[in-house]
Amino acid sequence: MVFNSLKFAAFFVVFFLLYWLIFNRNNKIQNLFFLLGSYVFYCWWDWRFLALIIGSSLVNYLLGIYIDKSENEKRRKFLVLLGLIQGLGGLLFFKYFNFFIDTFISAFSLININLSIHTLNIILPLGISFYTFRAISYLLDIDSGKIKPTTDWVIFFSYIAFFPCLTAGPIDRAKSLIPQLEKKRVFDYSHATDAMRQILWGLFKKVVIADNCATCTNAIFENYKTLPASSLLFGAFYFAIQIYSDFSGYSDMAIGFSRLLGFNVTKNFNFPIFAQNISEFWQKWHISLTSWMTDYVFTPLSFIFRTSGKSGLILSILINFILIGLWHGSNWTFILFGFLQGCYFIPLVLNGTLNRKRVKEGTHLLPSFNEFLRMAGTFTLVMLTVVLFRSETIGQAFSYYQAIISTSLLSAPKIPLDKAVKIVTIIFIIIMIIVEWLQRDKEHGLDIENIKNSFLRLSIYYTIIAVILIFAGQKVTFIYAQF
Amino acid sequence: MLSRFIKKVVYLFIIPVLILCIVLEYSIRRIPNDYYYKNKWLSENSGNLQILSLGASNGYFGINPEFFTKKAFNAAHISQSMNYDLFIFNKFLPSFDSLQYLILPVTESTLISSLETSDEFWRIKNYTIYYGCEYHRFEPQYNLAFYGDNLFSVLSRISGYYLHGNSELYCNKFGFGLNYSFSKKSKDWERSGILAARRHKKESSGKLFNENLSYLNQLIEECHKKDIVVVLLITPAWHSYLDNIDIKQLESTLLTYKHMAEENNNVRFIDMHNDKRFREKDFFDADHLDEFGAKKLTLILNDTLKTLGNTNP
Repeated sequence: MVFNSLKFAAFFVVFFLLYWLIFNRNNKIQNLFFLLGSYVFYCWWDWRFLALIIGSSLVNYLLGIYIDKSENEKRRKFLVLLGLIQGLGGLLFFKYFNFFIDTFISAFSLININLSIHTLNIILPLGISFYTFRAISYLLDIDSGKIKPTTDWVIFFSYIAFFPCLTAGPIDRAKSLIPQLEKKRVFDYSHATDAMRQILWGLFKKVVIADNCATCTNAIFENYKTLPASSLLFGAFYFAIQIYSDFSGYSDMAIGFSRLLGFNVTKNFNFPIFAQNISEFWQKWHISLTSWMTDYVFTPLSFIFRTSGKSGLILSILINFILIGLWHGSNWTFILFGFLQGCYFIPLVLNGTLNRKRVKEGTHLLPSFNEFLRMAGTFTLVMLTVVLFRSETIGQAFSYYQAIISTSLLSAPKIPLDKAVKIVTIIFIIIMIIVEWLQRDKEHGLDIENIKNSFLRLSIYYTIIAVILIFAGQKVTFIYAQF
Repeated sequence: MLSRFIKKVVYLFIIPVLILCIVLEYSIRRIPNDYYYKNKWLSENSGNLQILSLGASNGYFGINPEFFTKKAFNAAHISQSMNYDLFIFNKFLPSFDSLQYLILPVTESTLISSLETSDEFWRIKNYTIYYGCEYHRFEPQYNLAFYGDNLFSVLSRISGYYLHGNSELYCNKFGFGLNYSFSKKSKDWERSGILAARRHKKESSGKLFNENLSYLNQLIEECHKKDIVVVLLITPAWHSYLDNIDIKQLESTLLTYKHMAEENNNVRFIDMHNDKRFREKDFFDADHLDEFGAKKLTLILNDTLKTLGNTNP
């Protein structure tokens, strides 16, 4: 049940009405209903994994209470370790088991030892990477004294299975979400209308930009051996835009649906295509994951390597980004993607500009030439690495890179697609970039509360709805829902 | 506050969108298409039908019932999988009073594929809407004719029919697909073999195989009860397809079909994959015949059926 489906629309309308009209008398009952809705949403995808998410919630709920109660430091650490083993163990099994087995077999085959270990036909449970990280941060925050555990199991189970963010985040922390579940939600009209705008903008980015880009990307990546280098560069560009509009579109919808239910969820994207260096890019891209990794991986690592100066910092960054890469999927392409992202930080570390406070772009209409160059440079660096994201193997990615480096880079790009699709896609990409640039200091691209003329606002909504209905691309699964 | 919000959303957005959807759905459903036509034809004529052909595109473009001497009809559709073959057959089974032969064009991927898991899954709605199939009755996307297309293509289809008279009926009155004609053959059609072979190469799925085998067995059993001969037919293919085919997949499938023909006395297996009687001009692409090839194949089948007799041995 994906957000851009009729099934979800029907589900959400019914859920919304019952949530606010019937179950809002009592917070406990409303939470119980929310939990039930989350499980219905989860079962719609695959009911067999319901036990897994319930089991994981129960273990972490109990561990949270015991960690807090325990005064013995060793016992506390043991309980935290138990939680990590449970969470990461599940993740390793479902997401990485076959990858490790294959890597193991390949490594041994290099020294002429042929192992006959069978891989398993494992289905990746929906949202496991997201809810596992939510549970881990909960335990670690209790251990470090940042939060107190909740003793209300309904609240904790709802936090883990929080359905608007279950499929692909944002990965909200207990510190921000649990207090919201604890207090009674009140319907706020302006909040709800803005949430609708955010959903509409997210839907536009997903259905019009990402899905049309997917058509172009597929046409190029499937025929990259026969196309000129300029087309392949376009392929990388289309995919970079596709992945951005797919994931940020999804996040806008997830945040919008949460807001309609009275929750404020972490902003996951802050217009990263306008980032002026790679450090800023990662502060604006998949913010909830980056901040999670910063708090629980990078900060402890940089503490461990604190005596090694810049090389320690570089090592921490590289490990952090390799793990970010690996989080995305069990493939060497993701690991290399993470490694390259980490490498991009090295010049910033070496010239001491890593922590330099970013000069906020002004509210001026156009960026300065220098700003523009920095934005284009950062985007190009990211664009080149996303080829790894799209490739099935490192070999395929390298052969794609190899094909880009040729004299045909200067020839006119040829994309084996209908001209109309190419034109429509490019036009809407430009529109999206312009709108997001103009709205870059707002919460989302369609934050138009400041337009007081209701007729104009309504015209904008209808125009976007018409564009979605008319130019929707062929339906493609959310990329991050596969992680 | 809440009621104001709900009213605004309903009046300004939901009602206009619903009205638009109803108008589109009504308009699209009135456009004649293959599914509507074949269901109607079978509803009216299945009583005196003698040869029925089912299957996917290789059957749809490969068998032209016009050239059978007995009364025949082609109820194949693009990407039609075994579960839908069984559905169509069962739907009209009570009225098949004269049916003697059921021709089932199969490929090396028939037993390990399904419409539901293919790229052509959007065709499922046609079985729900026009054939009344219940497989996906409660899934909205498979019950709406306009769903799956964007508004631009829906409007093009509607204006194409209502303004220019372009129907979506792409078969002749015998159900044979007319789109793959010799005149439309692309210049680099020979390359299509590699792509088609790649497309037909499937990860072996035991579950899907068992399901399809069970559908096929049900078809055979029902046919046996009514003295209908089932012809499992592998249609001719061009060398560029055959050279790139997954041999392991092909061999195991052929073995299954042969086994079925040996085990069931109302089943015949005809393998024409590499039939040298079919030349370049008979193919539309590497795994589909054009109208000349379809005529040739149908005439060959017509002669073959005579030698098979019309009752179970």
